Amino acid sequence: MTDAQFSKLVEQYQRMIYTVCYQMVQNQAQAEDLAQETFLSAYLHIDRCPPEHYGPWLSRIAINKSKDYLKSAWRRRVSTPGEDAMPQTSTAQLGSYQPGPEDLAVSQSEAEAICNMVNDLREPYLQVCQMYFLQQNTVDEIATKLGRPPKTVHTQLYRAKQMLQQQIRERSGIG
Amino acid sequence: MMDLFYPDGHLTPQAMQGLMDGTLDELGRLEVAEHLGFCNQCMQTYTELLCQSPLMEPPQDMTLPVMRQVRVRNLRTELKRWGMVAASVAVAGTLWYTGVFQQMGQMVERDYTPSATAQSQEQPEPQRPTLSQMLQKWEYERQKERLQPDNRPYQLEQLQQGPTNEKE
Repeated sequence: MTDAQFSKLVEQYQRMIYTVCYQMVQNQAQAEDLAQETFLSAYLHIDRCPPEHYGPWLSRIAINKSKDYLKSAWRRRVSTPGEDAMPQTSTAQLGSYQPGPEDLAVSQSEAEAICNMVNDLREPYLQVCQMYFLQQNTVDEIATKLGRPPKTVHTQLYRAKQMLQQQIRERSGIG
Repeated sequence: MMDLFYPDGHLTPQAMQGLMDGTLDELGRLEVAEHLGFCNQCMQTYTELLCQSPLMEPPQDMTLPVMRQVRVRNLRTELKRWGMVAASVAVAGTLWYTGVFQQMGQMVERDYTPSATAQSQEQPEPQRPTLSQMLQKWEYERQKERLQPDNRPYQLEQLQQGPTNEKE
């Protein structure tokens, strides 16, 4: 595609791409930047896309650019120290220690509470967390079964952990 | 809080409408964006809705700024490419000018002539000169050429002493 043809493409699709970016980020200046970045990225790979699919293809690039922006903004706002540290299930907590009956009863109730919290999560986190925490599936297995990219599954698990940690802190009264 | 996703993980009409109306919060928009990033079915629905609705005008026309950035990027790529070519030519030219290629050619020729091969079967292989020995020999020959304009033979000691005022 020549530069003149690409220039016409920009003219044709700029309103649509700007609208997509604005709907995602709700900020005029940021939407304009993201729309320009969309076209710059598209320029490098435009020859791979059939002309009849330009609209959805450009929209997908715009959405991915907006998603990256939103994700970094979200991470900056919501950072939880020790996000990988999750309360363990009862069996993991025990290790080599031999619990008494009272300890087992308390650990089981904690495990049940965590189980209930996982089951109360909303989509898109519910299925992912059930399969990961309760059914012990790996990320790749979850990605295959749900038809989601592994990176998206990772992100959803990470965010779900933050939500569960927040709920646990609120229950413990630390919140 | 409205349900953005069906139990099967796809976006609800409320999610689509909320996105277009601008009523979703930041997390909601992020979740929707993540889903649209991989789900072709929902992406198709979204683009159809988009085409049916009035589109927004950007604050300024994007064609010129985008094409300007495209030209800058193309120029940077070309400069990088030609810079590498120029560097390669400069290195090759320096090696040629200092005679390294000639020296290497002579070494190869010496090592692969039939007499050298036959001799090496009876005698131990001669030790190859080191780089410093090669440079010294090259410098010596240059000096010899400089001090010997009329092709007269000179003794090595005279060369080491430097040019004299002796006339012959």
